[in-house]
Amino acid sequence: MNREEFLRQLERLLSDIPEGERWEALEYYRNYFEDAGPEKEASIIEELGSPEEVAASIKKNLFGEDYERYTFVKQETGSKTRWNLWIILLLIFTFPVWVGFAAAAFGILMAGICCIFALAVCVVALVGALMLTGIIFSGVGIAQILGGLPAIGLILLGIGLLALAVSILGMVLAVYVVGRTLPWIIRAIVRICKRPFQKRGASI
Amino acid sequence: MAFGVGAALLDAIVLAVVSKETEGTYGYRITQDVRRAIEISESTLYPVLRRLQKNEYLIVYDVECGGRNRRYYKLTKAGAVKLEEYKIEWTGYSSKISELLLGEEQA
Repeated sequence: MNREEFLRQLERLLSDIPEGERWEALEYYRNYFEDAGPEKEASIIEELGSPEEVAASIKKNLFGEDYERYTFVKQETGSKTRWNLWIILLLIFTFPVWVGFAAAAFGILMAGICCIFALAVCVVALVGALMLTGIIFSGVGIAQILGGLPAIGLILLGIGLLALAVSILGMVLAVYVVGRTLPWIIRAIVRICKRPFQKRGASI
Repeated sequence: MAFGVGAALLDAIVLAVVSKETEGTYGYRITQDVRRAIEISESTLYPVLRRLQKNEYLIVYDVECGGRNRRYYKLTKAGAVKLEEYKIEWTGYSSKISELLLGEEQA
């Protein structure tokens, strides 16, 4: 970049400040190059940095320290809202495509929940059946010991107690598993539901 | 240089440099003179000179020189008063800093 290019770019970058200010600044830098002489032209351009930096230092002096921050923030929020608009438009126009996927995902989720529910019902039924069996066998066994065949009574009582023990173990296991996984599932669901709101909160 | 130069100190230095030349001086020369004392980039001085000019501490006038106009800066009365204020402030400030930093008692 030579001196003329530098001054031209600076003039373009200062197009949004009052004409008098622009003229003053350009006159100063034109003078500066002339006083320094052509042999120093390259080193001055290098040291001045880009025309953008020089323009920024002039504007900062005109508009105060907040100038840079102000324009920066303005640009950032502008592009962000534009992005959000694009995403919303895209979602509307691709509705026929993603609605199928969404329905499928919802179906899979529901099927999973039903499976877990069915499994839970099975476990409860199994434990209940074992317990009932245990009580009946024990009762019949005790009756046989007291007024029938003590040997058969003992066998029945043994089977009944065994079934009761297994049912109690199963119950304990089921309570433990539910106690561990249920809070985790609830937390996960709450997190998924919260996510969109958190994101929106952060962008503001 | 480890020590930063704030806006007020820069103003004071520029006023002092310009005041040395009773006939006035120009941007390139001011930059060279200031750079003898502190490291500043070439783009630092224009905003400072413009600010001092707006506060009416400096006046600007053009002198024809080799077929073109050269822009000169000169201290105004208000500028001279401001420079005296800066000198007094600096004497107090620098002696206190020296006292703390070097442990010297400045009379």
